[in-house]
Amino acid sequence: MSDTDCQKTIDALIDNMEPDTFAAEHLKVCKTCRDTRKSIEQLRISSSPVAAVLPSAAFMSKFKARLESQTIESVTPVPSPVSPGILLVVALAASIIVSVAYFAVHNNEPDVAVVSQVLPTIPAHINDATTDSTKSLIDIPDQSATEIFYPSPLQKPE
Amino acid sequence: MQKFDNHDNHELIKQALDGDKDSFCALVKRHYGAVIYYLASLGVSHEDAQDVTQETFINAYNKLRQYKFSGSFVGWLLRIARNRYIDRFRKEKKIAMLSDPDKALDFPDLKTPEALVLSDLGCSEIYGDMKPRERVIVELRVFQRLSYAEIAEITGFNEVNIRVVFHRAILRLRDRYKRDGD
Repeated sequence: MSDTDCQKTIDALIDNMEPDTFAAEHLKVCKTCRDTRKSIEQLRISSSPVAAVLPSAAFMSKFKARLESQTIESVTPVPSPVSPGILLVVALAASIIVSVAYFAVHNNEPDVAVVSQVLPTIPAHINDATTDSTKSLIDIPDQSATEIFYPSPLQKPE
Repeated sequence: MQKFDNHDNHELIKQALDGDKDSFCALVKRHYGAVIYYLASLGVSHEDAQDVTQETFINAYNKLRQYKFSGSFVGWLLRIARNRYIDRFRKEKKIAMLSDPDKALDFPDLKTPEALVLSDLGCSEIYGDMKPRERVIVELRVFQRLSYAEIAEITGFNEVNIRVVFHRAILRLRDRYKRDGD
């Protein structure tokens, strides 16, 4: 039980007619706050002393005379100003979208200049090996090929 | 004006917005004490407080559509009173409240009609030996039910300071009631 708990309880008692759960629990264990609660209730029973102070007749007649010529101003809707922070975020988001779109488009199209520079650097023997291996892969025996594509003898072309 | 006694603030405000000026006069009578007491707490003389209070209510009437029904009407009125007070005394550099809040909250003229009425009503019995600053804070917090943030805005004091002052005042009050009870 700390001073902070007592302050929270008193504030809860001031703000609400009924104590909240925290205040109710605290009041069970804190006699000081129970006494404070009584004091606040006693204070409220006495009602605000300033509420009984009424304006003089002279004050009211002067006020009424002035009020006659007064009108209640209409509230004109003010367009909500966009804060600089929001503008910055929008600008940043727009720039990111444009950047992403640019790279997405340009990455699908190989840059001719770059490709021509990169290709000659591939060693010749690798190029040959690739060609040879490709060739060996293509050289599948005819029989197996026909078996793969035409498993049924009925469908085998003559 | 007794026909308005049972009307709450919001009802009276709505009627005033519909063009019933008598409803607004009922609000003036109801909250005159709070405004005049607040100005007195700032060290404003009786004559000046009367003028500032007139200005406050006229200004409140003009701006009535700007009042948000979710907030405290008294808090809204006192904020207007504070602004009118500052406007009025800015040129004369009489705003003691901003330079020395403690000193400014000492009541300078205890023989004003309001001070006498408060005395007759037993204000001193209620607030006891509280300092003027404590009285205003207790008044605004307990009776007007304003939040600490609203009181800070109205009085120009630091919110943390207001919390401390309020809790000390309440504890002293408790001790006094306890003593009186024994």
